[in-house]
Amino acid sequence: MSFTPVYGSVPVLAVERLHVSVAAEGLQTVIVSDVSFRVAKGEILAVVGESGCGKSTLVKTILGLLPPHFKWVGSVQLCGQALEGLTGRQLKQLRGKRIGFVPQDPATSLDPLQPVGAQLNEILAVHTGLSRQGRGLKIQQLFTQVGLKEPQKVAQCCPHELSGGMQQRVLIAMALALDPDILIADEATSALDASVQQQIMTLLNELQRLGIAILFVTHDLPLAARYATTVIVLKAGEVQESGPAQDILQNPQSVCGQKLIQNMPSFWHPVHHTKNIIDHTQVVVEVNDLSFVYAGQQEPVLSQINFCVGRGTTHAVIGESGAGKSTLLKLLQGRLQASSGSIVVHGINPGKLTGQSRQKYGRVMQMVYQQPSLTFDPLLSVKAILEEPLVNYRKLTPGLRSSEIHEVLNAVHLPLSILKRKTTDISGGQAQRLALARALLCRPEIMVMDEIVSALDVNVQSEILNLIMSLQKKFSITYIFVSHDLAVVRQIADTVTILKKGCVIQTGTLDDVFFGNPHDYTKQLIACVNY
Amino acid sequence: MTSNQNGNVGAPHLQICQVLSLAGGVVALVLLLGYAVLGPNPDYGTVSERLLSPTLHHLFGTDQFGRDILARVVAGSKVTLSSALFAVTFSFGIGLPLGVLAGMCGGKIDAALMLLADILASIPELLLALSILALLGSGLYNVAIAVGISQIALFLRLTRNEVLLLKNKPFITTAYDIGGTFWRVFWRHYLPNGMPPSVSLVILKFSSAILSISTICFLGYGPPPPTAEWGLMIAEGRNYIATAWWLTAFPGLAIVCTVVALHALSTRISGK
Repeated sequence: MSFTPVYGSVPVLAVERLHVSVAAEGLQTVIVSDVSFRVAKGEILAVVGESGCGKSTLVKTILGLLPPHFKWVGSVQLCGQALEGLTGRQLKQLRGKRIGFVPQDPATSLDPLQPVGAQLNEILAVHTGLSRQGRGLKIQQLFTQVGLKEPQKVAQCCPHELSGGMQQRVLIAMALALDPDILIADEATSALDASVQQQIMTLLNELQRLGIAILFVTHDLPLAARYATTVIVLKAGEVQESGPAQDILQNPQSVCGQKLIQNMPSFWHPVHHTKNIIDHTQVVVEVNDLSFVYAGQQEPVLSQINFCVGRGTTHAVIGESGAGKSTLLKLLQGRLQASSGSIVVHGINPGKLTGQSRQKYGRVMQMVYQQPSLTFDPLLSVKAILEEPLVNYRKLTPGLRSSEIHEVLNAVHLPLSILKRKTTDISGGQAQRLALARALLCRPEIMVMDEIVSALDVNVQSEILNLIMSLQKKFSITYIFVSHDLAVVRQIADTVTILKKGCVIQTGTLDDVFFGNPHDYTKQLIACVNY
Repeated sequence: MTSNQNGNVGAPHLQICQVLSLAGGVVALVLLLGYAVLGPNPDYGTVSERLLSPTLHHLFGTDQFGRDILARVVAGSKVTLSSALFAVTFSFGIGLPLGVLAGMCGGKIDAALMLLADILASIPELLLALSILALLGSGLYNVAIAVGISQIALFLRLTRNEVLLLKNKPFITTAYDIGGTFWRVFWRHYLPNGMPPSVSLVILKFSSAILSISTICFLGYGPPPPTAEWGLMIAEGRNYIATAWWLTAFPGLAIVCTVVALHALSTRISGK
């Protein structure tokens, strides 16, 4: 960040007046309009914008991966060589050697059946004249370069044996395999935990110091500002503003930039202060010495978990992937039985539920998930989906049913017109509101929210967070909020439990945990927060 | 932009050969229906007109009793198609819910139903249908039931596999979480979502039911003469095969055409 890029006479990548449009059903839709930028050697350029702003189209144009019905005009120059006018074969060679690409989701980008070393070997065998031994050395060198310890062991592993962070490192190694001049990373860290995200970004910074140019696409402005040299803010395909990263973060000029900053949940400058009163006499969920071991395994997934949640408050469970969050949720839902210890939810032990009592448990606890669209029956309309809990729990006349549904739709700020739609054609934010509405119709005491805002972009995320806080006041519901994002937790939680590898690191009120007497691990988590 | 300027937009664009074959099909259907209503009685013949080869007056010729073969082929379509439809509805109507149950319940119920399916599947369809007929006695609807039972295993297995795939989908677990009872989730979610593969199989099994029913009737376990049934007609015409080929050829052709047409239809539907 103190490192200054080398602005030579020729930028690594120069995009001038790029327009991309798509023709569908006789209409010409402009996706990217008049975008120009340059990336110099040793520079990280971040392209920031909400979903649908044309970021991915921009990347695809540079990579030459646009579908045939997309048309682009303008100039794209790679190391001084213009891309237009080249034959398909020439383009392929130029792009293959000069550009390294790091995709968003490492899990889907690697062949699940092949060891990662073999996958890297294939790239080297096709594109370089290296001997078998030379390739082996190169693989080791690349894996060491991207910070994988024990490169030989990693090379033997199949993707599922590696963590998300390691998979992403392998993909970066693949992108670097042919010594590219520029690395393009499309949301390369969005699917990763905060601390892994930080490691990957630090790695990109190291590569930058070695003189590689990096084009980094993200929706996370603070992340971009922390690691990039220059930032471009994109909205509806147009550049809203561009300039040095720190300037934009501290003093955004465009409305879009301001909105992105404003809606970004901030750990250090939380927007919401109105916290619920924690009444220690009214405990709704109590977990005592809970342990869980999967049958036939030695290592417990959860061990000695203790926490309690007060009525009408929000309790956040924080942990990285593999911390045991999902197992804890399954135990709370009664899908799994505790190996030892006890859970009491509203006076009920969820592990002992059968038939009728399980059906009634839905009125005590409801779940809302990260991907709500998967929880809707694809054959049903929105109306049928919302009617379901009412039919199951309350024998209401159709008239009463629809007035109840209208009331809930109002509460979650969805238009009545959505009732006739199919769930497949509503947006991510609407789907999350719909899932909340359905859960509310069960009139639960407790709502468990599993990473419900992680997949949404910043502006929608802030709307949903505001919404659930207003719903809590209106319906006085207790929330258990599972997340890996400390900034989001800081906005809404009253009490916090921090999990690491199946153990509780810390539990207590938010202020105690984060600012009173933080554990070393908590301090580590806080250090990863960008904004 | 209107649909007649651009074939890809708006209503499906029909090509000339498609229009012609559609028109041909409709004309043939109307003519055959007209023949069924206005043509000669399929069950009574004129003795003086025995074994006449195809002429303009009797397009498909006449049989040993002087009955018009075309009239009998047309009348036979009613018998064969309706019993095949009955057979497929029977196997679909029983196989589908049993398959959903097997997939949903798992455990002992699944094991028992799969054992049943294995037993049904291990005996050749025709042999199984014949043994069931031995219990039920002959007759057209018994034939249809027997063929239906022999096809249950297929629908059961297919639906069960589909349901097992659905079982871990979040929308199914959520359906229970929001208070769905077993039967409600069965009706509302499993049945409609588990149905599509079986539905596309129905047309295919319809054509194989036609073949099985004709075969059984050919063997003489179906309805007794003088019922006009394609398989039975072929059986009756066998004795005259050297001198009057039209007695067996036309009912046979009717079976072939129907089965081929149904296959084409099912390919077209499953391709979309």
